[in-house]
Amino acid sequence: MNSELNGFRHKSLRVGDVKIHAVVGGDGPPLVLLHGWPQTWWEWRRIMPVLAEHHTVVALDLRGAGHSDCPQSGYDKASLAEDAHGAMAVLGFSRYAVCGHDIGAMVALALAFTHRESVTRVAVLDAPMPGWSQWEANFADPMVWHFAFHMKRDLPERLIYGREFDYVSTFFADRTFNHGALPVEEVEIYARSMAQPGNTRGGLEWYRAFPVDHANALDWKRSPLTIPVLALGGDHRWGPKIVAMLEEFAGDVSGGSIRDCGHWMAEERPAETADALLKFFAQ
Amino acid sequence: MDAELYPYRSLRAGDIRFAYYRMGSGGPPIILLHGWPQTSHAWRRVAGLLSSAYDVVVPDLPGFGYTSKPDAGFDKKTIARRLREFAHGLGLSRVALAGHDLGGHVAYAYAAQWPEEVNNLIFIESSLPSFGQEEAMDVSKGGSWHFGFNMAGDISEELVRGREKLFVDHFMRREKVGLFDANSVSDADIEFYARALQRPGALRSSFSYYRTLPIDRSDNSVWGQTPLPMPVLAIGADWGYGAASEQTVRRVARDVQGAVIERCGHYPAEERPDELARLIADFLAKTPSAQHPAPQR
Repeated sequence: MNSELNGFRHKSLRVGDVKIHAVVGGDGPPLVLLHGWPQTWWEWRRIMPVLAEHHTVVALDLRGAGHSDCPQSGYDKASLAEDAHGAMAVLGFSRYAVCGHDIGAMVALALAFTHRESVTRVAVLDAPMPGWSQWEANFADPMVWHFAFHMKRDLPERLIYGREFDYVSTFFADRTFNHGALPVEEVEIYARSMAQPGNTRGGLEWYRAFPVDHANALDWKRSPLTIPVLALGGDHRWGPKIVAMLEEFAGDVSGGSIRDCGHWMAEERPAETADALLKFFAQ
Repeated sequence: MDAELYPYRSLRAGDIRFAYYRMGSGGPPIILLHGWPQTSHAWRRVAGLLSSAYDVVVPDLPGFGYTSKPDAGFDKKTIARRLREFAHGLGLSRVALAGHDLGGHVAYAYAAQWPEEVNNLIFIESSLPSFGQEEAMDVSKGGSWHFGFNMAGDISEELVRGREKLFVDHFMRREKVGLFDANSVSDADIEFYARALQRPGALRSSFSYYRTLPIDRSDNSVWGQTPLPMPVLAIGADWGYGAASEQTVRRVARDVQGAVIERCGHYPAEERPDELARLIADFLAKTPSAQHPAPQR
């Protein structure tokens, strides 16, 4: 969304043949933030000012979301990672740290694997990873029924159309611990963003690429990451499992759970999340 | 709509007002159970074909069509109990049962709980929780998305409300297991099912058949320890579940015959009514009622 955040500038970056929307501010070593579904760069609003005291913060809209383009293809996580790398290159950064949440966490991991020379550290927030040994078994978890729904071609767009708020608000509420953090007006911002032409499809394409992502990640994990990885989740969602999950992909993993927190870490527990990220990226 | 062909009747059984149609002037009774997201309308072509030799009873299942939409009790154990009250209300204490799709789940729950009251079971394009359905639900192995969607909660009703025709059309004509001949069911028939789903409580009820699958799974796992005593005919469709219906039934019954209808999707009662009616009639003729031994209870 085009909501303003004090001290940050909105940019439209030409990356290959797509436009990527970036919100940039702060000083220090560069840090790119990659949001999840059904969100946009706006999910980072509460922690961007704190992070910007120590980093040049670049919050992107992923291909398919917010004000970035929604082309017909290129939604596998390696392609989304290429968008992020390209955006950082346009901004003049060849080495940078990465933090991703949800789908953005999958992109962050893909970016770390596909641009080892550029990614200094990676933080992975509250998501299951394609390539994880439990990835396929996880499809049976009733909490991720939407994976299969989103992977279905065409029909979800028709069913969600005009009911973006109903869908998004239910999705948030079912995965929130601190409900005070996501009032209706905030949810409405995400719903309206999704209602922009192409954005519902764009977000669903991230799920339709899962089979490709899983195959890629199985290949990548044969050469584990050597950079430090922070694996962090809400204690009511992925926190209890996320460190062991990431240890399948990397040799140097720290992290765990943030207390009293669901899936929406940067919004439900911004102070604790920012604190953990700053400590990790300052090392 | 040719609803005049089968004037609906009403029968109150327990707390449910059943809507049903009945054809045939005599012969042994057979109850035909429709699947999801359909109604007794699904049997419109087969019911007439069987009526010359059988007393054909075709109800809307609780929650569907014009039958009551109760607040609760959508596990198949309870649905079968209600259906039995309906059958007894009609004076039918021993019946043949044919169930398609989720109607097959109900037919099994009936036959497993009251085997002495079910002479024959016909299981059409279905699979049972605990006995094969889990594979159809496993998306990572090519299973369908709609199990999780239907079970998700209020949001499923919210997304489908007002879009019932799109939804029904999707299922009946979907690429995977949908009709082989997409025109074998007319748009008017699709509309008929859609309008049934538009009635207050209909979507809630129809999804409740899925939300109770975990209960069914544990009930089935208990019942399945005692094989069904009556003859069972399992019918699949080559463009539908194929041999899966027979594979499921072989795990819960010992006297099983199987058949697969060719060039047919998941809805054989509508797509291949002549062939389905012939399979049912031949099966019933070869396995006359009341010939199987009384089960040990």
